Amino acid sequence: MKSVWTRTICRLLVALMIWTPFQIAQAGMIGADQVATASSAAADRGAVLSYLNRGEVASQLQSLGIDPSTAQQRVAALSDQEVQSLAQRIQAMPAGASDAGAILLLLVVVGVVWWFFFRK
Amino acid sequence: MVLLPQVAAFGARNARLAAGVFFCALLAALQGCAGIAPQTAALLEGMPAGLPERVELTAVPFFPQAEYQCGPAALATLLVSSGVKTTPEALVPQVYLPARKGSLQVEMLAAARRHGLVSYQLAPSFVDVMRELAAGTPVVVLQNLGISEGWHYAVAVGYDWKLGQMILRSGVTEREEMPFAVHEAVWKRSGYWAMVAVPPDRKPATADASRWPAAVAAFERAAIGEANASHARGDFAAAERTLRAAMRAAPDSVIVQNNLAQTLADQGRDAEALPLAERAVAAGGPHAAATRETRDAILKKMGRSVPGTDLKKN
Repeated sequence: MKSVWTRTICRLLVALMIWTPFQIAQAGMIGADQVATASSAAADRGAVLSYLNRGEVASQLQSLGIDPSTAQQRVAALSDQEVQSLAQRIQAMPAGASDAGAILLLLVVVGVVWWFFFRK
Repeated sequence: MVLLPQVAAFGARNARLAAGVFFCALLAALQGCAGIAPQTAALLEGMPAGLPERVELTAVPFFPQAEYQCGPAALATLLVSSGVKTTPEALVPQVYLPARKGSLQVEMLAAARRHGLVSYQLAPSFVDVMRELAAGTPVVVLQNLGISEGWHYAVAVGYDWKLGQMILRSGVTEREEMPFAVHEAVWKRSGYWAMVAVPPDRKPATADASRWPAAVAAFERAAIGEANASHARGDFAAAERTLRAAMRAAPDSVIVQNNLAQTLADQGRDAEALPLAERAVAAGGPHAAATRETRDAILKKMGRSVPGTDLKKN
């Protein structure tokens, strides 16, 4: 059974391994994680959470078939709220794919119309 | 399509609208039209004020989708409409998830930012989609065309209120006409998810004062991250391009000003860099120390005295 501590450490390690190397800004440049930062405990907690979430999402993208550097680039373009919504829910979210299902829907609709009309 | 005699007597001009009404009435008999397509029911009463009866954005390009890749195709449609040079193939590595055989909504929003456009999720409103179309902006909508899994991105490019139909680029169909009720029924299943992507100095017609700032901030954050990555690679020209786009969307962003100043200085363009660096310093705030460092470094490079370190004025 994993304690809350163990789980947090795991998340931190994942973030450090996968996310941090991508975040080191050069001298003179301010990092993207500083956007909309105010000095407050809530903002600091938000920043830490975002950091952990981003590492997690990058790791999840990799497990879904994306190479590490592409995963980092894709995560970097997400907002904090978007990252939060993705973390841990990535398997359940809709993934737009194709209109192959339209044929089935069309058959159902045609069937219903026909049945309703001719039944009268 | 088979029509009842009463409907046929409606007249040619209203035939399609009548068919749409008939279809809606049919659904109503089965489940309750208000449940299936509530916003369409409201539309049938009359066109919202200020909107034309018919809009079609014929200039919007068409990219027939490859299997499972309606995401890249729909996104390419949006980006190219706003002047970005790209193709569905180029977008596959940015939005497509092989293991899910599709593209996630938030990644569609994110990928648009990487091409210098501000992406914005519309309110869950049929009328808002029409407003965006009337303003000349194509809209990507997420539909569910199957029983449980059938998620599909299509691009709304127009509507015809008299005929009661939406016009979409969808799959391999350049011009798909969908009755309002059917469109709403398949679109409702995604929670009426719709997005637009606009150039950084523009604002969507339906931009909501409570949600638009967050969309701009998300664009700003993505641009800064990408520019930092370019800068770290030594690609200063790319970093500059990205940051200038960010400046257009968020002209008061201290981080953008600072980072653009640094990027210009790194290209030897100190004279251009200095005013930006000064502007960043003048703004104060949480980044005051970092911006002062940037400004002072530029001054040193130019052989000018740094404020607070030299008794003699330059």
